[in-house]
Amino acid sequence: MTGTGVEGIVGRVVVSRTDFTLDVDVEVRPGEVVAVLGPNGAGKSTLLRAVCGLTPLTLGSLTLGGVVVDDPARDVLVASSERGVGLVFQDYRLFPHLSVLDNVAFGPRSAGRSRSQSRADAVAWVERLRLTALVDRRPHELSGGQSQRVALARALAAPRPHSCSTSRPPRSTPPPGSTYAATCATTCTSSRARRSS
Amino acid sequence: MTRRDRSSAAPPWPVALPAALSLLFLGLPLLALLIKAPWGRLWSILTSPTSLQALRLSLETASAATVLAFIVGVPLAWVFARAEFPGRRLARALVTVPLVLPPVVGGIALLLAFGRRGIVGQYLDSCCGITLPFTTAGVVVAEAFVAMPFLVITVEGALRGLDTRFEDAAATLGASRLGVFRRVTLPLILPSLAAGGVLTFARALGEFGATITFAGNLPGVTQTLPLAVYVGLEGDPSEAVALSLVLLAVSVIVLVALRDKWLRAGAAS
Repeated sequence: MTGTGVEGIVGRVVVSRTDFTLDVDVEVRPGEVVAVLGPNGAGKSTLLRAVCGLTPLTLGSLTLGGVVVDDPARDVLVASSERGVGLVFQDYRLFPHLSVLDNVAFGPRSAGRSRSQSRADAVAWVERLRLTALVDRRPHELSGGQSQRVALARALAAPRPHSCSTSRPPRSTPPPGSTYAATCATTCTSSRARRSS
Repeated sequence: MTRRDRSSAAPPWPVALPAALSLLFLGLPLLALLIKAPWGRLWSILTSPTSLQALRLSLETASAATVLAFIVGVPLAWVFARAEFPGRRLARALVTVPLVLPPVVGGIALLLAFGRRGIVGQYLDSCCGITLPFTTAGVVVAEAFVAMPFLVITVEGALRGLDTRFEDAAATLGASRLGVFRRVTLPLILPSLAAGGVLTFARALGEFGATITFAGNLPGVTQTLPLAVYVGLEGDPSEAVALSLVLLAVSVIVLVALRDKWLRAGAAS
């Protein structure tokens, strides 16, 4: 990993598959909110997957908070779990075998915190997003709007040394009925970025 | 008559008759076992030292074989389901061979590999003093050889069918690959792990051919319940029937106990 001094999310994302090539220049500055719009199949999800490290680049390179995280030419690929990029999936993907609280505690637990510390972290986020009454529910017992808030809480609760998420939680929750525009519902903000701003 | 009424009506006789016959065919022998069991002497037969010894040995070796299958079989299933490497299909075919191989042949193959003069066994013997054939450990090896494919196939199928979306989500939350496997993948395939474990245990418990070939028939050391049944049949048939009843009961208990568990796990997901 090489520091380039470039803040935010910067790079050229090229993902080629047999029937499809995504080629897009990305530049997201610290604190910026960017919506990615496009018709079905344009590659919105693929772009977000590439930023999060779930889909490796075919060409180009990607820098998060000044760190090169994907550069096929130089054989650099930082794993998704190391990128500190939060993502709220369009279909939420709450873990069906875990309660709401344990879903939210998943990130802290993955970062090596103890079970009780992780739960305490999760409780704080659950309270902020007004999910306290739901902590013992399983995902299949939630409405769509509730699932969305749990997914948001889960993404925000994951400790991200390079992310703004933990230092500045949103003050209000999204209204339960609201839906995110297309796939671009992300908190993909690189943080080191935010910290310096 | 609406379609719904028709679908819930009795099946036509060309279907119903063979169906009833097959049910009878499968059920009747079990019924015969229950009818002809020496109920009066049952307790004294089952609490005889020979029976208890065989029962304990069977439970111990089948449990050990199942644990062994989990330790090495689940990673193998993961490799088959997720990894791409040359010869994967061949390796996979190789694992399924014991499913269809006559167990006696499996026993002979084990002897040629791990026997005292076997291609691996001779070194085990000379360097480490480990002897497998005709030992209790040999019983475990024979049972694992025959039963493990059930676990590998079941778990591999579950891993292939598993939605990788949850594993992706776990990765974005900072979970390492091992963490994802342990905290997301394994819990999600728990019903299949239980099912595979039950099949493996049941197969190991009933294992006869490979055991008698590779491990012999030494009371207290390698004489498991099926072997005791076989020996009993030559001496005191009612003893064989009584022991068979135990095997039947254990199978039913294991199935019922674990069926509940995995139905509940399935309902929760």
